[in-house]
Amino acid sequence: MTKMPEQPQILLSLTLAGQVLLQSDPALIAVPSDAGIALSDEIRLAQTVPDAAVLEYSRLFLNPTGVECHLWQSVYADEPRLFGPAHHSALEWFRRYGAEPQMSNEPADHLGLLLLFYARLIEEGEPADVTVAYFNEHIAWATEFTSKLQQQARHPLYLALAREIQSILAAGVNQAM
Amino acid sequence: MSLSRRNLFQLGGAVGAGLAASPSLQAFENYFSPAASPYADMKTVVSACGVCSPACGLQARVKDGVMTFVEGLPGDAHGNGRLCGKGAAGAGFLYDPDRLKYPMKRTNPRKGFDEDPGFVRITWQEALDTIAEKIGHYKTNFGAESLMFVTLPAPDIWLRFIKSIGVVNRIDHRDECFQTDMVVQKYTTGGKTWCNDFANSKYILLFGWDILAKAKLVYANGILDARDNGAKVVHFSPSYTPTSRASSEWFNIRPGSDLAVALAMINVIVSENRYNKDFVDTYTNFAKYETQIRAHFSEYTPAWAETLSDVPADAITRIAREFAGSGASIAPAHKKTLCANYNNGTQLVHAISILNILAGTVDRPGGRYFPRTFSVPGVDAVYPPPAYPAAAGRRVDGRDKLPHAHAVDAGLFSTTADGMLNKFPGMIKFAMWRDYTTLAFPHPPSMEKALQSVEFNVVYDFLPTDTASLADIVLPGTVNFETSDIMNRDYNAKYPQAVARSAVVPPAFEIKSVGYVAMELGKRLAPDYFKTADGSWINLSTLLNEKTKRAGLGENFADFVSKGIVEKKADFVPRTTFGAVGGGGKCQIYVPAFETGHGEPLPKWHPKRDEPDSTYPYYYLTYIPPIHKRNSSQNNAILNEMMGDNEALINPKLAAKIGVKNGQRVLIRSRAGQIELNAKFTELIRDDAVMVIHGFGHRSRLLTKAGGKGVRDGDIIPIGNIDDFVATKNFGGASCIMDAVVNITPL
Ligand code: SF4
Repeated sequence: MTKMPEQPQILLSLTLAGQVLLQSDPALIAVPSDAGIALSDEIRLAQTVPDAAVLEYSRLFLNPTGVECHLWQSVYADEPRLFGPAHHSALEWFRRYGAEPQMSNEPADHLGLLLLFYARLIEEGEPADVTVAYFNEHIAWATEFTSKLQQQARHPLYLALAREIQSILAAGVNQAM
Repeated sequence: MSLSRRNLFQLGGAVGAGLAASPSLQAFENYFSPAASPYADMKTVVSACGVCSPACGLQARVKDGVMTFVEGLPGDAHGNGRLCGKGAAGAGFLYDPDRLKYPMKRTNPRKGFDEDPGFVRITWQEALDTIAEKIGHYKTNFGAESLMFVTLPAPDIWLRFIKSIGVVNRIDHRDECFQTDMVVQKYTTGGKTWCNDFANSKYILLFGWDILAKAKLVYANGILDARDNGAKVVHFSPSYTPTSRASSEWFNIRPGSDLAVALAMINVIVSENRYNKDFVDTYTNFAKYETQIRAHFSEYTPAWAETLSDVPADAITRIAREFAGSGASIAPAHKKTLCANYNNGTQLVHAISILNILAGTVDRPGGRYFPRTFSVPGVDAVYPPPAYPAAAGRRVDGRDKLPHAHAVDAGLFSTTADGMLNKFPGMIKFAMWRDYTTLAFPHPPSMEKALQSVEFNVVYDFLPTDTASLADIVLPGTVNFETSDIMNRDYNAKYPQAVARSAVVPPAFEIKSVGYVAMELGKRLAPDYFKTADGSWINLSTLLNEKTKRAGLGENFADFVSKGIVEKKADFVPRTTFGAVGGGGKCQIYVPAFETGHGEPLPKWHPKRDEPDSTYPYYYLTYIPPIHKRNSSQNNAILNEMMGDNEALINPKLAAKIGVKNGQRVLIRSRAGQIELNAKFTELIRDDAVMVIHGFGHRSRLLTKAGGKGVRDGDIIPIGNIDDFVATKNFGGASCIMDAVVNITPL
């Protein structure tokens, strides 16, 4: 089995990517001062002119003329929908660890939530069979999201986000092998 | 699933105790809370469908606030424990990934379909403040006539808002639907009714296209039950539809000529004195106008009608006799019973009403009857408002030129674009669209052009419609599963029955009901109308409780919900006085009120608006398939899979004549425009017509499933012109939603 990358780096990667997906305004994302990955640099840059990033977030994820990249796992299922089986399964995972999303009226299978939860599983040293199972159930699907994001994103923050998620996926796949 | 030994809200495990919260934990705590319960919450909720108007009762299973299954509600008079395909696909609307989720505002001032509107998320507070400020601004500077509300007049609190600010231009689609029947029934029998007693009918005469598949489950079941009971069903339609298949006889009638057949049937029944004498003598004004009536219909012979309709004269005569003699005959008038399709729609529904009156089945077993319902008070009865301001100003659709259509206060969609572009250019400064898109109008390109001149557009909807592309503010709206209301049964209502529509799930994201929008805009713009007698704001839950109580359905709404269905069984007592306006308690065959208002007291023959000629030699037909709801269901995953595109349906005989192969691309042109799509052969339509299914051609490219698929049938349907309606006696404002002729060129 290939080893996961250095734990602090994967945690940072998951934590920042999760927040960029959940928070349209980069000014509200806390970046640790010693964070030195590409995404943290892009967040810091975006924080200097947040409006462009906010606009891009809206265009990509909330657009009322149609969304470019949906944020929820259920939308990438064979029968795309909101609040599909992946929502219920994510809720079960969260509850098993005594947690539930604060936004109770939004789907639990939001990629940002899924990444933040994944970070905590790893950080808490959950055994590999657990993290691999979680990865397969709730993270691996994001390849489709990421390739869409890569095609559609025009702002460097979201291009960096796509790359970051790609490396998370690659690390997860390595671990699962 | 069992609880893990780990609690992710504190650092432990590999990371070790005693350390400060890590960045991962901090972020986690920002978005997660300790779980209230480790278990899923399961329940069953009684509610009502909202895809079409009968609102069939349903029961839904809900897991953790998510609807997981729906089925019909046993005992419900409409669905009778079943749901139709559209109703069963309700989750496809509720959980459509493309649903609007948050209020958004445009940041790019340049508007157009090729412009990126630059939408950004805003709070409801900002959205409502901005909308209220804009309404106030335009009303003060340009008068109430500068505001256009494209919306049905319900719920009552929403209508109160519209009235409280003196809106002149509220329009809805009913001129494309049953508005002509509203106009005619008001004077002939006493009011539009949706109740057809098919179960007891012996003879069902269907002018129209596909009542069985397209219309409502309650009608489909009714007609099939009637067939089982031995009723005869006769269908006139230029295409062979599921209704034709369920009929005893089908006539491939020429488009727009149903009126000729109906007039000739009246001729036969009257001239041969086959009408129900007891009913006609006692309950109608036949005797008073007998001379005029007999003289009027004498020219409309079956032989004459055959030349216009292709329905054989002897068949017309026979059917007229059978209809008059069955003892329980009915000719329903529903939306696609040509009420709106052609310029002669008003005369047709008047003729149909006369047929029902002559059969003597108005409010009688087997006929069209008036619903016996619970009396549910509206908000104005519960909380009487101050006097509403007069709606002073010009009607953009010119509807005031048609006094009879104006009085029923519904459309006119068909003439609005002409009003905005040509008659009153620049008058509309502000438009608010609720659950309608430009696709719903004849010739959408005209409405799109008209909309570009509107300074401020607001769209309240559940999906990103084409109109949203031009919006300044977009508000995310609810679907039926997210709202509560009292649903009277009014399609099958021999005695009162009501179903509790309780919200199956709370609205997700920041979706809000139109009642909320009404209240919040009302508080900002006309606060006096949104207060109770003691000066506090109206509370919508309290209002619903009060309505429930006053209607006798329960102590409060929760009590009603616990019962699900409430009914008051009683024998059906036929009416002996009728509410026809001006009729003195009787039904009116001859309608004196129609002597004015560009009407006709007795229906005369008028051709449809556009007739085939050498340039445009073929009839154009449109169709709404059973599995779709007009233009709002094409993005529903379940329904889209069944039908996700449209084609030009063409009879192989016509195709051979013009050199078109099956599957070949064709150009269809009318005087209004052109569309390009693939031909598909079918023996099921006339060989002088081409048919295109409505509802496709959404240009909102990002509607995941429907965007960019198919073409808009309406692009070749001419818009209406109010002066033409006046000149041609289209006094009920039929929208001519299918009144076009075309030529076809293979590509
Ligand atoms: S007929 Fe179908 S779509 Fe209409 S209310 Fe009933 S179940 Fe819903």
